[in-house]
Amino acid sequence: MIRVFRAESAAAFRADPSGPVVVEGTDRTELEATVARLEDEGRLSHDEARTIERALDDVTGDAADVVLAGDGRIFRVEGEAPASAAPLEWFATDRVSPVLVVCGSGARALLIAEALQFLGYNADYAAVPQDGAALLDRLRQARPHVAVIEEALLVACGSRLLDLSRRGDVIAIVGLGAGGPDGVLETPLRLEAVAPTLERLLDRVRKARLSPSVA
Amino acid sequence: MTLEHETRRTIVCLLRDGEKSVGELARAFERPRPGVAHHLSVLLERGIVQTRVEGARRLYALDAERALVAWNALLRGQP
Repeated sequence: MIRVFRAESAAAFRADPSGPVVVEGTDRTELEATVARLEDEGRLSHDEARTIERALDDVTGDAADVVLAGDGRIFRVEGEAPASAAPLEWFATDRVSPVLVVCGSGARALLIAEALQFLGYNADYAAVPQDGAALLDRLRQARPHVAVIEEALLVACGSRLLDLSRRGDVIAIVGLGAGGPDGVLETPLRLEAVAPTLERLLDRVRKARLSPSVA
Repeated sequence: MTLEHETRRTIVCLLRDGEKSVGELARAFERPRPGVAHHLSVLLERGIVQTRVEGARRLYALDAERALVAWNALLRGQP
């Protein structure tokens, strides 16, 4: 049975569902028809009706409690298995190889590193001034497999980065915004676009480090 | 933006690999963070987190797709 409740307060919204049931049923088509009828009769607001429709889209089983709040604009579903945290195609498969995000701004580098961590990458961050020598020093210290570097820093460093990536430790260089020799993550960053670039490069670097002739 | 707050970003990261109770979340922080329950309720209201009751425990889980949308919104706000 799918039941829809209306919470009268924030506390009620978070508590176990209780109180009068706004609408209930096991057949979705019938439930949707009931919602439309109640909206026509003025017993459900337009917002509540649309929110229930969205909630029903989220219910995967045939037994769940939906709680409405915020004048019918928000909902939560309880009583069914929660949304899957199973890896989606945009989650990292390589959670070990170090990735370094380098920007002129520490706050920006941190945020992007956190976003990559959310995807599962072993990401750290660094802020360096807009000069190539500082960037090269940081890369030599950190020894990441992949460095995601802000476009302006790439310009400042130029071909010296390529020299670094081809000598000693293999590093793949990804441009943030534009211009990376091995790949680009366009800005504003869209997280679903990250994995195809990073996974390919991490795999390439891993193989190159294991077998230098591959590089 | 929902994920502008550092604690919410951390909660979202902690839930990425599976559901947790509020106590488990609070313990997972490297240093004490006030208001974990409050931030969870904000994430719940935005649909980024869902909850269910298992025995005496209330468990929180990530809606990964909605978390992705929230992350992208935050990143769009960056220069």
